[in-house]
Amino acid sequence: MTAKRYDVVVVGAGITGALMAKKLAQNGKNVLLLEAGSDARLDPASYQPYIDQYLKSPSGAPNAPYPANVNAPSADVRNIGQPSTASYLVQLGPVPFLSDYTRALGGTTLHWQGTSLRMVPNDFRMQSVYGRGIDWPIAYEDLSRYYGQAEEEIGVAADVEDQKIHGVTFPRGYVYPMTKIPASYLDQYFIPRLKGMKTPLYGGQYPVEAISIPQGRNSIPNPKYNRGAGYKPVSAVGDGDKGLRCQGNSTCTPLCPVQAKYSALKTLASIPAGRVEIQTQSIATRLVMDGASGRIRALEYKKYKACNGTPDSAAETLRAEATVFVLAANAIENARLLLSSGAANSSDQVGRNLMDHPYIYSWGLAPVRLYPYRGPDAITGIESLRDGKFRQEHAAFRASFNNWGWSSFGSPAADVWSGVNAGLFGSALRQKLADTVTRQVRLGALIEQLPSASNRVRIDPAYPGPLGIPKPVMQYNIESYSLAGCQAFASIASQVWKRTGVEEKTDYTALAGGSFQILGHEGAAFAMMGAGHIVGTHRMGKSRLDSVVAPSGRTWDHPNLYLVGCGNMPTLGTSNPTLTAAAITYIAAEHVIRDLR
Amino acid sequence: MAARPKKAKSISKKKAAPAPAESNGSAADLATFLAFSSVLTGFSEIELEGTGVAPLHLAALVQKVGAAITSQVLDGARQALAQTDPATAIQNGLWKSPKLGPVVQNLVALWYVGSWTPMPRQWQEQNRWDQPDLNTSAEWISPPLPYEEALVWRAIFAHPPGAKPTGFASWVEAPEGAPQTLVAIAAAGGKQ
Repeated sequence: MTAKRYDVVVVGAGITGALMAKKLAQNGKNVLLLEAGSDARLDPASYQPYIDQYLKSPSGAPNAPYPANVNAPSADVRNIGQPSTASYLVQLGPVPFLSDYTRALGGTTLHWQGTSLRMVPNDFRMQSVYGRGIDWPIAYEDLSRYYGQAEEEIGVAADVEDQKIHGVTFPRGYVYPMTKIPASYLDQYFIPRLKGMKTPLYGGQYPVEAISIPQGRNSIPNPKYNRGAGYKPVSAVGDGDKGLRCQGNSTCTPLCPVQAKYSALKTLASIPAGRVEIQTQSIATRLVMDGASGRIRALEYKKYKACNGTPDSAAETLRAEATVFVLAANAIENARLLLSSGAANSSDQVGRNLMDHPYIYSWGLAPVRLYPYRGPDAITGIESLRDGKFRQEHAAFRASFNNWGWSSFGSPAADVWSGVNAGLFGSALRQKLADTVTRQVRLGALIEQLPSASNRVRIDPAYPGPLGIPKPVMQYNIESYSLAGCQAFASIASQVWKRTGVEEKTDYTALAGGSFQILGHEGAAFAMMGAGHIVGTHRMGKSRLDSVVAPSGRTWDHPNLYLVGCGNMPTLGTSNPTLTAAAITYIAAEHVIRDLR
Repeated sequence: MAARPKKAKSISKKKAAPAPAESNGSAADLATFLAFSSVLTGFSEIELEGTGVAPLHLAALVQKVGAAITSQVLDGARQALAQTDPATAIQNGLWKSPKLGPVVQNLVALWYVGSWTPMPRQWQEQNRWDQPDLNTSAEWISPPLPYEEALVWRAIFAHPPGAKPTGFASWVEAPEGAPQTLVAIAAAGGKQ
């Protein structure tokens, strides 16, 4: 039992834990940062094994480069098929939860795509505008300044003019830290051809236009950033010459070999020395509470010795004491810890309202070669259907023109084999691949999902995990609101293909099995994956009756316990949620600092 | 990432020496293997030799199907290469052989993808059930070089994801040496 006392204990060394720890350190606070994952360090020698592992067994699976850990397993899409109790996530269905995360220093930003979109104003007031979901206790305008801070820390490359849509506003003269990632050759085929396209939805006419996507990867610094002060791209951790530009490795997920893509490793490496003690291989297991005041006195955690072999039966149970506690694990692990501790749950909302973006494709063959499989996967998107009156009826969505061909369906290896199986070899095979694979195009859409009390993370003594720590038990479904959104996307994608001369090849039933789930809606079947956007299990609200935390991130039940990250989000909208999770972490950091005064 | 050194020392000969009874990875076998692989892949011998993976692929073949069958494949290759139209000879001969055809097809995929797909169960039962390949999916051979040099990426004017990056903003243009389809469309007045 350690006696050392900290100002703040932060659980989780992913992006929100790292941002919190950095902000606290900058304000002179002493922090213990606990990470469940392995003893990686903030140096190139700890990153190289990820690259080596990827090249040894190249796979687009998000956790493929990151070593398995018997003591702190990660959810892994490679283990998600049918509902099952065997994998780390106990999947009770009816639909398995389709996304994963990475328990390691840097967290899931190791494998994230890097998309850094702000939410749009109506995402924060879904109930009052569309009669769906729930309103946030804060508005876009309350978050705008914190979005700016998050964009600086992540290093977002984007064109601010493109982002002024659906009511999103920016301070006068604002520009992003870096100029937008330039559109791919493939994107340039579609952008002009979609100009002026409109589609009817529930009596309204909506534009279908393609614009640039903000991304957390290094581009050309914008000299106008920060009122002319400019921006200095952040290099790979421990290697100042590496990763100052995206160099087109075309493998953002599962990893950027040069770290031109932001990961929380960069934030961790920039924390002022001497203030933050990072302890890895340390799994938070229980919050110890004072019964009368509800104050958290200590956090218990298990420290294990090795990541491989058999679960560490001799793992020590340690106790950390602090004035304030911040849980920044992720929406599943935060819920697991709160439920294990019987904490913060007077509203009975902990673990509930779990959301993700069902992720669905539409694909085809372009009439000319567009040379996919080069550059970042998602540079250009159809962002015009992220908001509108149709949200009364079905989910909004955003879709990107994916630059990696049909790689999600086994291409190009699958194309090689289909050629060989058709009797092709030599020049004929080479020619066939050059003529077809170079024309593969694909739209990938994130479909909005609404909060539902029955979509939840639980714990159950029947399902103990390694070290006796309960495994997250998932009860999850994808409702008709989202499935109708899938249908709208599929239809609009077909219109896009038709307008641009693409021969559509979408065949959802061909994708059954693996990471895809086939779900039916009004006689049609759609194949979907998860987007890795794990949201909503400890939402913020105006009232302690129906939410877990106040807008500050402070739990209603415990005056010195804060929650941060995607779990705080009452609704998800259509934005990839990392930027929003980061922004609300900055709000929480201000409150924690105030509490410590 | 620095480019890997390309080996281009020895130029293989079309007329290979007589084969030994079993393939032992000799220079003669490697020369035959390269000439044969060139016909199988549609890439020149010099390009294939430049990848540096030909010896790895030949070794993988010996490991996966055995020296005796490898030798039979190379014998068949020599006969085909001696014809005026080796591709047609392969098409009508080796490719259709129930025993050697599946091996040759796997070899094409090995060059193009960098991984070895387990031989069909029936083939294994008939030809190599003493040493079954129990893999249920394709196995990356001698990683990472065969992946990095896999021919499919060249065939589609791309690069292996995670290796041989093409540089910032290179994706904006058509790849080097590839037909400029967008330029062609613009020249035609914007219609594809």
